[in-house]
Amino acid sequence: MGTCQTCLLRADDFDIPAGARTGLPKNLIVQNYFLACLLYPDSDLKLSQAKTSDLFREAIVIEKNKLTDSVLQLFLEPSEPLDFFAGQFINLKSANDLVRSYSLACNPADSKRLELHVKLMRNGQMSNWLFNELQVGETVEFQGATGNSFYNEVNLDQPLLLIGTGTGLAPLLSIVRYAISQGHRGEIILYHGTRYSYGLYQNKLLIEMANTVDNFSYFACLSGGVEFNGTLLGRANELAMQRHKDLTGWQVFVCGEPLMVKDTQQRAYLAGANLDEIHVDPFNLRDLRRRRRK
Amino acid sequence: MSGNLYERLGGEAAVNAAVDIFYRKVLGDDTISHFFDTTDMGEQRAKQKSFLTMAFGGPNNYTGKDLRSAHKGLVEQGMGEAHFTAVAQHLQETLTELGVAEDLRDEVMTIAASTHDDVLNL
Repeated sequence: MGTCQTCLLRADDFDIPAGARTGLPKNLIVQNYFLACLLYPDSDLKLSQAKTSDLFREAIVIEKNKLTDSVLQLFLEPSEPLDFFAGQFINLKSANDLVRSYSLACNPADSKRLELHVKLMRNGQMSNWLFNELQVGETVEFQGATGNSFYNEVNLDQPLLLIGTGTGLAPLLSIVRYAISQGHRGEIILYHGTRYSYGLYQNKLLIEMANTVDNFSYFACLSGGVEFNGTLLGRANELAMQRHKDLTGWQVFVCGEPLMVKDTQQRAYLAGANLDEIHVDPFNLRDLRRRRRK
Repeated sequence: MSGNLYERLGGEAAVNAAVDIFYRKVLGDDTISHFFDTTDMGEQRAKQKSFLTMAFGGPNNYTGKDLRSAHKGLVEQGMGEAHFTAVAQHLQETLTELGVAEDLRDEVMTIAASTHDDVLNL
């Protein structure tokens, strides 16, 4: 509870307990917003519905880079700096009011230059709009940041294992960047999985980071059976689990395809990681079929 | 020794220590893990915790009827005697690993055994 923020309401005449504001941005807190799912009233309350204009904030598109045929790197400048935790996502709205979640890939310190990685989906209205229609200089609306899978620097000596497939790399990149900037001392090990080498859309950057930062290592994993310079062959989660058999005391972050995420969560747990320290972020996609599933 | 079983075992702290060991054992056992397979591992662990709290003689809201309805679907999926025994064994091993004294262990196993008919919907 408290994750998706879709049950937002406004208090008209009562004091909101702190717990019912968990994770809300400042602009909503000052306007008396709270999460209905986290409020346990013991008397009658007067409340109002959320105003759409309050929930969404504006940002200007400042840069668009096509990293591959199917991955777009998008930089947004929000009207005010965005507070977020490394690993969280925002909900972005299109010109015709579609809303989709995208993970932030930047360091939270870059609160005025938000980085998103957009995967182009076949028949995906949102991703096609972002790829082909949205122009640099235009304004978009977004909500957030939100999400429960994030890094906190309680223990800088704890080893971190991060596993992501496809654009599931985005939130992990944010975590790696942030952890390094906070002086994380434990090992930071990132596995990025794609089918073929062209899907390794941050390969150069990550290799450079691994070469510069002593406690950071990066493994590119290709599941399509074709080897490429310096990559491992196989699925990222399989390789990570084979190579790290004892995860006692580790923080684990898993992000990407839902079945992979679920399977990896279970295996990391069996390998000794504490359940509360396995952070999962399954990318559940909208059904893009032309016909509805029965 | 004074106090009820739950207190003598160490209360909630003992349950918390046990639940992690126990849940790993059942998930790691291929003969029963599919009954514990779920998209929400946190929720599943909470269920294991209520089960252990009950087996430890602690405060719980379980009734025989709840146990029956909660396991009905699993029985329909083929859960039976062998699976019940496997879970009981994991519980016993969990207690042993935690260094629980034999007489207390027996008391826990007696409570667990008392759920047999309800769990298997007999």
